[in-house]
Amino acid sequence: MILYSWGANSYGQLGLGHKSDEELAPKEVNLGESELQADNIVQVAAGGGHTLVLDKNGFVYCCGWNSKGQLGTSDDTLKFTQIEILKGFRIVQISCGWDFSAAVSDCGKQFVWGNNSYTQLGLSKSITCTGIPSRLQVSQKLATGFRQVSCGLRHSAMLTKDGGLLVAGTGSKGQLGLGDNFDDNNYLSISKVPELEEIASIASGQHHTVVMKEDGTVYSWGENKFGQLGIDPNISNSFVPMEILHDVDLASVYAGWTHTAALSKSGEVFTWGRNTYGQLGAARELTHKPEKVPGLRDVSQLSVGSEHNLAVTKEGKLFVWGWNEHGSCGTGDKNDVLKPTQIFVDRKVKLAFACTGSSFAVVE
Amino acid sequence: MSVFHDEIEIEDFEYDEDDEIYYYPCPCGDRFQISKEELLTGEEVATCPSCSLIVKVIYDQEAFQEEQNEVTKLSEDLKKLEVTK
Repeated sequence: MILYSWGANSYGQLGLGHKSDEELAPKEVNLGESELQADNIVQVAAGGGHTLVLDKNGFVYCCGWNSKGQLGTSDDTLKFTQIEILKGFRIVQISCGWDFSAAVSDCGKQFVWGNNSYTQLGLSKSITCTGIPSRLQVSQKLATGFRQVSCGLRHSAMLTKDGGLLVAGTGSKGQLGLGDNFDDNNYLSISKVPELEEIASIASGQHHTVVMKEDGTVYSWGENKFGQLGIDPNISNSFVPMEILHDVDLASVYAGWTHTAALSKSGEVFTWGRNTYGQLGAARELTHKPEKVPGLRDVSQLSVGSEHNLAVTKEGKLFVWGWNEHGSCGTGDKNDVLKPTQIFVDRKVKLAFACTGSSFAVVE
Repeated sequence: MSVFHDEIEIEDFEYDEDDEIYYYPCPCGDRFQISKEELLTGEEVATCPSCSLIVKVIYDQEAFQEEQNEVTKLSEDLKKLEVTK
């Protein structure tokens, strides 16, 4: 197995050992002396300029921008370096916001680090940022443990062990779903979204949040400038969760910055929201209506970046579409990819991750 | 005439006091930027140094100028006070 990366690399977030405006074609990442092995990678997450990689041993590696301590290591690094402080825990899931990071351990502990100026880490307002992964401690009433975290630009959504949802960060566009009668300045740094239960999947976009219940009901809230909530963009925001879709066949939900997606158990992909750079994978008359992406089937893993998308099929084919100015689609050029297009043709792709203008893939 | 990627209110920008520049995240991972000086002259286009995307800054030029004048006056007053001390 080989790890490849491509796209924006202004901060060295591709882990290639150097900074560059962009890498238009996939480049092999030399993992060198680090203990990270491509075979063991289970997840890659990235913010504006930093990247985290999680392996099956539960270890987290980082590289790129460290302006707010988002790497979780004391030094900046252009090559994947292990986050020492998390070594004692078995991490099972990671997520990155613009300049902050979060990780959930197998025993339900959540760690957060990076920028907290919008209380997006869920830590007290007095902490503007932290370079040390800190355990997020909340009252038993809010959560007895964490299952999953999804970070947006300046907010976070956290799925608790009992299927509830906690939110932290700015709610100025409604992205916290706590109603419109609050001000960022006078509410707690972490809160529970009322009346949402049995949640199975969560995703945070730039200024919106989407969740799916176990029965396949999808709720969204936050900014709707581009129809990313799945409703007519005449309504610019929703400050409370709205039911927008119900399909028992749905498996999980995903959010780009201004577009949203869902993957069905049978491997079909649905998209809605902004489509100015081909984010939805097809021309659409009404972009806010969730619709199936034509020409894509048997998708086993989907990853949605800021304005581009990657989908891996059961057979190990990798399809890309969306914004491509930095070569984030990996097609070798800068032309936006308006419909799912295969890259790594003739190669078997195990996993692929779309990030903020950058992409990663584990390839056989 | 270029097409704006988005329209962003000035409040949503992060201000760097040292550089006197307003920043807002760009989907390419870099940041849209516009200086205080540019805003004072009425410029409303923030650019990203890494890509072609541009955003329109939503702000009230007059109110912004007034605010800046006040800030300048206050800091001058403060300096005078320090001198007299």
